[in-house]
Amino acid sequence: MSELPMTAEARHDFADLASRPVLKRKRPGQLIAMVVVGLFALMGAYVIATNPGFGWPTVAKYLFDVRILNGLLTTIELTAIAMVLGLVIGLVIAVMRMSDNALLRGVAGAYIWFFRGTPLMVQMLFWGFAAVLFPTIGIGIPGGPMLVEWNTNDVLPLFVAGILGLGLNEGAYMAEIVRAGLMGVPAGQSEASHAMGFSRMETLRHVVIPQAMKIILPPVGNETISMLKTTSLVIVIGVGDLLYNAQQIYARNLQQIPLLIVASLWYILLTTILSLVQARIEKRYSRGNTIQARKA
Amino acid sequence: MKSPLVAAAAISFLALTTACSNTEGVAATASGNPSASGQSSQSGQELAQAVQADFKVQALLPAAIKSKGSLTLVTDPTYAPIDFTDDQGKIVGLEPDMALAVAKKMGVTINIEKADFNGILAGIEARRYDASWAAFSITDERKDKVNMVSYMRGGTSVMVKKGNPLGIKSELDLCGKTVAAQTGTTQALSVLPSFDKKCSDAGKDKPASLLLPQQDNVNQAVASGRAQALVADNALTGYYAQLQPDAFTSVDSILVEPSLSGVVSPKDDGGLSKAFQAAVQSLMDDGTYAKIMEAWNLKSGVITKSEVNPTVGS
Repeated sequence: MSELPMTAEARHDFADLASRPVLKRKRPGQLIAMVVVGLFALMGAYVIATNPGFGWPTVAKYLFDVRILNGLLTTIELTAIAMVLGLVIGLVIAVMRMSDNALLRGVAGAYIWFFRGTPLMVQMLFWGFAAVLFPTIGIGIPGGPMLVEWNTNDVLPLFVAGILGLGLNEGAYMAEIVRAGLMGVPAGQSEASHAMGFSRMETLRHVVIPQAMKIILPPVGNETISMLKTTSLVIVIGVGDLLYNAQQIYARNLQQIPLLIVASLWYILLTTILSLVQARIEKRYSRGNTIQARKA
Repeated sequence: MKSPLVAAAAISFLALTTACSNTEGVAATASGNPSASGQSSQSGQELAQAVQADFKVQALLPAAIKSKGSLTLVTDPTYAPIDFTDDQGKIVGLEPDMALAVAKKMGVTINIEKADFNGILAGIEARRYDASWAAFSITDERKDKVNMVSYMRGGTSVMVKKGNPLGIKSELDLCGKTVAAQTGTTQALSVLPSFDKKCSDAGKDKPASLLLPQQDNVNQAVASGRAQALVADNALTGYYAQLQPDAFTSVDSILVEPSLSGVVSPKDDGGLSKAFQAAVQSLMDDGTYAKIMEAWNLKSGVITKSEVNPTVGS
């Protein structure tokens, strides 16, 4: 009996509480931090904008210079072709590494060991100046007669040499990424698939690879973004990429910092675009990974 | 392709002998070949070490340098015989000797740092270094940015594959060929463009230029046939042809654009360039300068008068 008023009161209180506005907790520390960080950001922007050393007018002048845009195109081409080459080689080498055949495993292991073990710049110089060692390339019997012969420099123009340097090196890293992805799929998945009568190839295609993709994609995106800047190593063999062309311009007018900023702005733009693409692809492949809230 | 790809080091016209195994690039030019540089570098060093301080030069030294007692210099040591590294990785060459002799006149010590040739001028402008000896040709563009004190005459000459298989004898023989040079050098900035003009005036194809970041890559481009010729300072081509006679031949009949080389210091260097000028002149007057030049087989580059920011015929 005596409880009733209490509950009524409690209920009343509860209703009262619910009708009150929700107050935000005061966080003075965060406010101070915001002001301080904001001020620093403004100061930084001001210093950068007003320091004549950055040469913003020069940056603006060369940002869309035809040489810079040509170099940009070359950089994009190098990145795309070298990544495709790297992916293809990586897939082949990864499958070889996991093969039952000891010879295939050994060859793939040696490939990864060699290409990860030497500096990329050395590999680049080797492909660029291979003609010092092999003036001609041909098809024939080793130690015997040659059937066809070409001049090495004609077979490997500098652009192709650059692609080979970047792509073969990338293949070694990609092989490890693909292998990690394939090994990341539990063995039970393939066993179940075989039990259901799928062949080895079908198992790979429908069961293993779709699941491995989730593991493979983030590092591949990462490698692509990394490759974008790594392509600038082609300057050592004289391929006219973005950085090379910026370098040729500042070698002439001595405006080194503004031109490096020009090149960097383009690199940052491309990296940003690639990051967005990567995020979208990852989202597509991570379906079924998380419970997604559906609109009721 | 099903058939095996075999790279044949077969006998061909362009086949290089194994002697041209300069694939070590940097190592090949910087190996400090004793026959080519061992003795002379020693004597160059000895000559410089023996220099006594000159109070007239010391009087011109900026107070900041005087109190520090040392000069921070910078060079790109991939440019033998002017600047390169010996077997121990120490920076040697004509300029380190000359820089030491000049510092001795000033009564200060030197400390030479390494940098990529393309970054040196920016480093000087940013006051990262006090001065640079890096075989800089004196040009109007450079004089706008930094001070330059003349100490040597040079020019551009041409180097080709051993035996000059294409018979290149004059500048016009380079028309339609691929010619290599180091990025940012006078050769890349003005000599190659001047060839373009000469060739089109003569009604021939322009030479294609291949510009590479380091002199070692440039040499390699000629050795591998990526380029049929290279243009570089005459001191360099003579030295390489002497160092690797079975790989390169220097074309003696071509000398383009005689120019002056200079020590670089910042525009507002507090009078350091005047001290450099006085020190170099003092070395010229007492005969040490000519001896050091001779020790490096560079008698052709000797000048008799050093100037701050001399006028250059461009």
